[in-house]
Amino acid sequence: LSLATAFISDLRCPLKLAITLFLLTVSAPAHLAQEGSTTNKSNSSDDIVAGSRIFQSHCLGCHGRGGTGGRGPDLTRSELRYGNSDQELTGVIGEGIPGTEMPFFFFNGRQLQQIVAFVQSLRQSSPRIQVKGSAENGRVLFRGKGGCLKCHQVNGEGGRLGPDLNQVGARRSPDHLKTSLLEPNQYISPVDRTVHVVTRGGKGLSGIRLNEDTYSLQILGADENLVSVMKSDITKYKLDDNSLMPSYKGVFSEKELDDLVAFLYSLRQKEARP
Amino acid sequence: MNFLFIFTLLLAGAVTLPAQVSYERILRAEKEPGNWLTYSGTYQGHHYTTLNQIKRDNVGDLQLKWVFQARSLEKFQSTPLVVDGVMYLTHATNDVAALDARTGRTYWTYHHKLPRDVSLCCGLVNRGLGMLDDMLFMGTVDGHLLALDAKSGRLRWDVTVADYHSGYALTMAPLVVKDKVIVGTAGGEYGIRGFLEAYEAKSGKQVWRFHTVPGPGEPGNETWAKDSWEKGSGSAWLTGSFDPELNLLYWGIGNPGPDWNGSVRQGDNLYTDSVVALDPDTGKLKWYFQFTPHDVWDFDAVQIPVLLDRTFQGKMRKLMLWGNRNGFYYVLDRTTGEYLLGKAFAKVTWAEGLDDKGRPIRRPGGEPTPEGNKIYPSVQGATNWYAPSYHPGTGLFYLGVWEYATVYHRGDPTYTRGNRYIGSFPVIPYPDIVTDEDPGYGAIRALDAETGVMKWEYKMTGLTESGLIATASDVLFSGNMEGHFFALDCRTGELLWRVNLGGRVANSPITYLVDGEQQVSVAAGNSLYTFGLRQ
Repeated sequence: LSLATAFISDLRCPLKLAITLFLLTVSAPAHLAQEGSTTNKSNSSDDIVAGSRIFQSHCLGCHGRGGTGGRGPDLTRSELRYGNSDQELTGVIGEGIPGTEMPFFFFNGRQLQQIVAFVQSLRQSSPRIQVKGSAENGRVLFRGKGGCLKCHQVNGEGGRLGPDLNQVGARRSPDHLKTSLLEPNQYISPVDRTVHVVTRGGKGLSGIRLNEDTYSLQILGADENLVSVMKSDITKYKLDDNSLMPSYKGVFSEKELDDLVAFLYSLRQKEARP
Repeated sequence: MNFLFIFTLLLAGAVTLPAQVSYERILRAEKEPGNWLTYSGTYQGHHYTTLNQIKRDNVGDLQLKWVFQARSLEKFQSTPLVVDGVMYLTHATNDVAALDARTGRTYWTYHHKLPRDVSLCCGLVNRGLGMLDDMLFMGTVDGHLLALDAKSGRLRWDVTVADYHSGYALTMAPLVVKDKVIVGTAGGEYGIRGFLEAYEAKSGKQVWRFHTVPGPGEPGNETWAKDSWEKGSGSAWLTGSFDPELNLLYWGIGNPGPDWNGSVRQGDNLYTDSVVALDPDTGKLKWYFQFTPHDVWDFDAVQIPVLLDRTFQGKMRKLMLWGNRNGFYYVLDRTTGEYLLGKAFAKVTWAEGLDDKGRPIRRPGGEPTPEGNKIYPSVQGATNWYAPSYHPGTGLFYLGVWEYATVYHRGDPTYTRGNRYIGSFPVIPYPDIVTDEDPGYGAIRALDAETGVMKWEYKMTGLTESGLIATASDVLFSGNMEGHFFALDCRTGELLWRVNLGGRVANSPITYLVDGEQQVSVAAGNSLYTFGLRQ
């Protein structure tokens, strides 16, 4: 496999490392054929490396290192809102998306194809991960022994205090999911942080912080009601570093954990399109 | 008889009708605080008014008078002009409107049609107009400078200043000086070679051009490695200030390109991140002061130069105050550019301080790296383009501040014409209080103009892109990205009044008179809101 030596020379960069590992684990470019389209003639491994360089200097700011999203959407998902084919991606990059922050770019045809090849390579890498557990067994554990629906929603069922898990399989790796089950405090998304406040009247309130500005705080309370508190009425404020989620260490066997991870990883519900 | 009477009136009008905004009126703008005749209110850039109807004890009686909704969802960064009861403003992308300042109703609208393939780093924004006599001047994001008839909104002339296909754009409000209209270009993220230009107001004929990045044979070109000057950027995307007595024009210059990878442009990279003092008649450089030599953080010196005469360390001096994006507050002698004082006004980790000439002492390890390096201030700076304010009564310099770090990455600087030339990207340029791990906070700070020592701080949960205006009655208006517009006590920073306008405040509020009554206008979201005291 003819990898660009420039990439191998500096594996400290996570993006380069990810690309290099990916290219080493798949027999590109034959495996880079895209859903519904094989129109891209610039999809050799060298083209992907070239595309990644352009991605770094032009796309990374919004789409994040490795294309996993930030201000812009996660490009590693199997379903993209404005199209999955080479042709559709070329249109989005070459013409921008009116009414959004996705700008117009002046890349020439070859460069556009190289970026598309790189983005497709990111998307191809994600679903190749194999999980060893049984998703069906995991579903039973999720609903029963785990009691996960108490806090999490799947398919319109469940509580609201924990993150919605409908697409968690498209966003999180199996390793990440397993770690979250065993050590839930290791990574807490800022949007899921719990806040505890005490008001001037001595009343204590806890819940998920939904919003906050200089003057007020908006909470999803432990009873799943929306609560607004003026900061001028708050005497104590604490943003919790711990998750409300309990650790499942010792609760599930190793096999049960694998099954639960397999179930969670299978949750890839498509986003509704307008 | 009637016909003769009307004809006589018309003739008299034709002969004696005064020009609407003469140069002399702009020169003495501080004498007519009921109007707002130029981008910063006056040539000195104080964002201060002698109007005093709105006071600390009645600011709570402010009520909404009217709202003007723009036809675009782009950021509303424009600061209006107000002339004898008429408000002139731009709104995205490049529309101009003349409004009745009493009601907000439209007299006329001019629409500049943009090509579809205009690409700009930071939104298709416009920051306002210049005016001379009965003409308005607007730069466009596709690189044109337009002159409009202020009465009818009709196009008088249209010149192409720069080619937008190469990344150039005009986003700033033009500055009128004497009989000239002065503009600079945006595009610092596109490998442009920046410049300032002057045009004859009457005809649109170009008078001079000053390149912000010197070419071969010109002083300063030696501060650029090899041919890096050709794509050196040095944009000039905000309006400058002017001292008529010294006949000097002061302008802040933007970042060098590529932004976050300086390896291809070794050297100080003049005149990026500098203030340049130019002869407004010729465009010749008189002096410069560079705030951030060889910038690798995107610390554009694109702020409003604040000019004042006052005692400094016991001696009367012609000063320039500057709260810079790099986190330092500066006092310069504006006659010579001599550095007088520098002091950090926010957390700074890229430099250990300034030497006795004002040159930063860079901190080892304070630069972007391939893996990412967390550095203060953030990529949007400790402050930015929104107007600071100077109050001669308090002697305080007020500015909006970001206490926030960015993880700066250094990547490949790939140049392709018309595309970004930045050398990687800082992740999360605008933090979100809820979704980001370490979102920092915003503040309005009051600095002693002579020492740079902070006298008070009004801390906000979110950040701010709002300018400020101080009044003689000690009321300081500003806003923030949360959508709040508020009034503080100029002397203490105490909150006096606030309202939630629901959208990001990203312009600089102004105040003026309508029918002898003081009004305040500020943009939030995509609308302009006007407040006055309850009657």
